[in-house]
Amino acid sequence: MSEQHDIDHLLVRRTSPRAPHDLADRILYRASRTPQMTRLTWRNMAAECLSLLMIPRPALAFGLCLTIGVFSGWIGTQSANAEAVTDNTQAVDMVVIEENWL
Amino acid sequence: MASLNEDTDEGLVARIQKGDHQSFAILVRRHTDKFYGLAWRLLANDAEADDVVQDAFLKLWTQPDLFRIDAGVKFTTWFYRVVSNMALDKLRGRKRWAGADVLEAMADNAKLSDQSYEDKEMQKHMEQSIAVLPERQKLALTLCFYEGVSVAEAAQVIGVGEKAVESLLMRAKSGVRNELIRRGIIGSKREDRHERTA
Repeated sequence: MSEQHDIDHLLVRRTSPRAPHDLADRILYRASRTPQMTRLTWRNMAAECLSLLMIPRPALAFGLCLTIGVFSGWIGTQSANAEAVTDNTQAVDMVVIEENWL
Repeated sequence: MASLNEDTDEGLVARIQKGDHQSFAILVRRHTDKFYGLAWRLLANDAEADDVVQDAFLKLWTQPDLFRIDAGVKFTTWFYRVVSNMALDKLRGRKRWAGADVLEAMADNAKLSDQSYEDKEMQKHMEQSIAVLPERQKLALTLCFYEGVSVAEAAQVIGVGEKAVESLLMRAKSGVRNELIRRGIIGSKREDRHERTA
């Protein structure tokens, strides 16, 4: 018991220095320049996939889709009219050809 | 800010896991001194202790999910393990390229500024006696004796049973004592008895 007490008494005399005063600041500075890594789990992967589908500005995206829709509709109508004119011409040509043939 | 400062370590880590840098800053300022003390006692070297503490906290910042809040382990217990593992890795690396004389010289270079000559000499011999202890004994001594960690918590950090920690602690103290006797710093009980009878 006395031996134990003696060695405890000696061990207590061992001191350790305090941390450098700027150590915490250096750690925080390095951390501010280091990005966090997220662990690869099913939940994280699902969240990542969902975030790809998320619309960041719904109003803007809706307006853009509406504009594209109206514009493509207008283009569609124009091309349908043009096709109708071409069909008529071809029909006339056929008649002419048929007349020549006959 | 006041509420964050009063938050538990585990609460702060939960915020860090969501990327909160302010919580990380509070945790770093709260624990830097404590974990620097642990690293220094294991390495007896200022620069290496500094590196270990920086790397350990950066690991916490970059991979906060490594700490499982739902596992029911205290943050400090988990972080004691992180820091001690890093420090022991450094020790192993040092032993790979350095001989005993270099290890002793590193212990000599420890900060001993505010001490008397006698205390400095004693500290030097203590550092050298502790440096030769096996890793686990050194860790048990550092945690239980110097850091005031309970035997149960030290058992979790080291990854052994409580009885094993008590045994490691006893053997560490006995090892330091024997080394100090070998160096002639203290006398053995047998010699003391001889002197008294003479």
